[in-house]
Amino acid sequence: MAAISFDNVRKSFGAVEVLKDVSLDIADGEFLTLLGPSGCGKSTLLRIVAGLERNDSGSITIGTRRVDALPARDRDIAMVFQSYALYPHMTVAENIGLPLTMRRMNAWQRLPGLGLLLPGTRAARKSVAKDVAEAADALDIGPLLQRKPSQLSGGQKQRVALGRAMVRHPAAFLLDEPLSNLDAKLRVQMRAELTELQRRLGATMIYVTHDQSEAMTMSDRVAVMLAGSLQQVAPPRQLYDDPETLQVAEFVGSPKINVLSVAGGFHAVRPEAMEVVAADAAGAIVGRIRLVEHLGSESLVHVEVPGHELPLIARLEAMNARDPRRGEAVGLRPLPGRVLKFDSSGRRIRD
Amino acid sequence: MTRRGTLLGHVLRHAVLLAGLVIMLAPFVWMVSTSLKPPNEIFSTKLSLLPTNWAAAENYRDAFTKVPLLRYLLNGVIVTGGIFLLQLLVSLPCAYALAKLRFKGRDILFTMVLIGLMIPAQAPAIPRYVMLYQIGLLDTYAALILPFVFSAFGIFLMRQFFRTVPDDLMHAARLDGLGEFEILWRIMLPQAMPAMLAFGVISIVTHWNDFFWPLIVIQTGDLATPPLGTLFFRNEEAGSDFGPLMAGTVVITAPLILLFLAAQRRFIEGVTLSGMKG
Repeated sequence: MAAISFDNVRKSFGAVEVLKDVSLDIADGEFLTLLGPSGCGKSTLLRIVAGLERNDSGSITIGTRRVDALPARDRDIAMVFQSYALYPHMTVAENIGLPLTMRRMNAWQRLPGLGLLLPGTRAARKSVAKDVAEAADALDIGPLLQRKPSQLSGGQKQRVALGRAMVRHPAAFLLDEPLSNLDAKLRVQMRAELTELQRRLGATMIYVTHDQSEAMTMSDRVAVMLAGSLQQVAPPRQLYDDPETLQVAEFVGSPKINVLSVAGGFHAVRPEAMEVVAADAAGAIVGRIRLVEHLGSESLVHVEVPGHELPLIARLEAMNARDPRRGEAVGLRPLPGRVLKFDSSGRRIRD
Repeated sequence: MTRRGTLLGHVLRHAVLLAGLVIMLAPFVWMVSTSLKPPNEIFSTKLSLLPTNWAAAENYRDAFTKVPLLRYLLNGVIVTGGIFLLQLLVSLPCAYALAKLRFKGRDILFTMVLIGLMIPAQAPAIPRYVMLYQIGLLDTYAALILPFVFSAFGIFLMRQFFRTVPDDLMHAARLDGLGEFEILWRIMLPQAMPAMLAFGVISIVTHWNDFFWPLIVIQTGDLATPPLGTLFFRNEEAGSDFGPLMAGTVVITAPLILLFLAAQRRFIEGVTLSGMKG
């Protein structure tokens, strides 16, 4: 396992600048998530680490080696793709074993049939088979080893892809939206399994996703990426409670943070820091309830406020909520000390 | 495929298809029929598919004995097999590079392949002949094989197929430690089997049947390909010996028909480029 760092990495496709001066240090054994909307450059960054794309400038270090100039196969990195990218004509065992076969056997030994005549081929094959079986057992896919990918479910394919990545004990794992092709229930389950796997292997993982619940639940740290630059790198909790920029505050959290324009900038208030009060209460923002969403343990109250494009949202614990009704005029008041202040360029102002 | 027409539509469609079938099949039926008849019945004014006096045995015996038909068939196998193997050797790497690698001038190269596709085989025949003469290869197997080793069609077909293979598969392979040739050999090829088979059928049929080029470059009877060999039936005696000639052509055509029938399903998969599934 190894630490990974980026120094001033830039990348353009033609005239489009996809990565604008990205610098980031990832610790050995860390689970780091690159979070951002599609097209923000997060997948490109991942591909640059993998060696599938070249950075225009800057440098990437894995462990103690600078790898910018190395081809993908010499970087000692494994990747899990959104499409899983399993080889359709190979069995599960062959899929998982291929990276080992390529490393432990020379070109002659790999020749079909003829390879068996050479010394060491059998021993190498045995060692590959043993490691494949081990990886398969760790992922509970032992019984599937002789199947072809087309005979597997999405979740099983996912595990095979993970097996192929972990079997050769790479310096780091790169995961590119690996859960987005699974159904919602399986996704939650795999989320837990992946985190568990990462802890057990002590592996450095870079995980790319646009799904903030994945980012928040799995990561040691989350790097929020917007339009090709890193906005903030922080543990999930801090990212939510203490965002550096208005964009991060708006991107992280669902429902979205309430943003109020004030003189010289913006005030942002999380829905749970918004109190619903009487319309004539002191300091209240007055509006009319447009929608009440009952979510069981909590309710979301959408309040239409004159002069605001989007309704403001307050999150109420269901047991505390008086029964707000649609059309009712109410006041909204931020809880004391829970207002996040930003200047007009969206940068955080700390008191 | 799923659309169902009315009964009338069905009947009409099948009528058209049947008419096509008759037009396609008639010459073959006639060929087989003639190969069974003695000379006097071949030229009889009476129209009949089956002979009154069977001469099949004599005709087929003559076909194999009067000319070295087996030798021609062997030549055909050597030439078409050689051409196809070398074509694969050239067009697979070319097609892979054109489909999946990024390099300067790729689009220009591909345009040139497309242009090559439009040049009829006869157009460069004379320069080719002169070149083969200059290097002293006329009247050899090499003269029959080498000019066709570069196949624009093969490159085009395989390139189109390779393009349907997802990029992530190559990326995964590179991370797994495969070089470009190994990606081609271990990852792309196994999936391109239907396209390769389609290309194989087309290439083998074309060159098995080619009459023009062997006629130009081959003088020695021993090197004749099957269609060229049929010439020797005609030159044999004063008149043309149609019974054995037709028997010979039946023997020459049969391998192709068998080849197509054997490969039919995957051939159609290959030309419709539907070989990729999940």
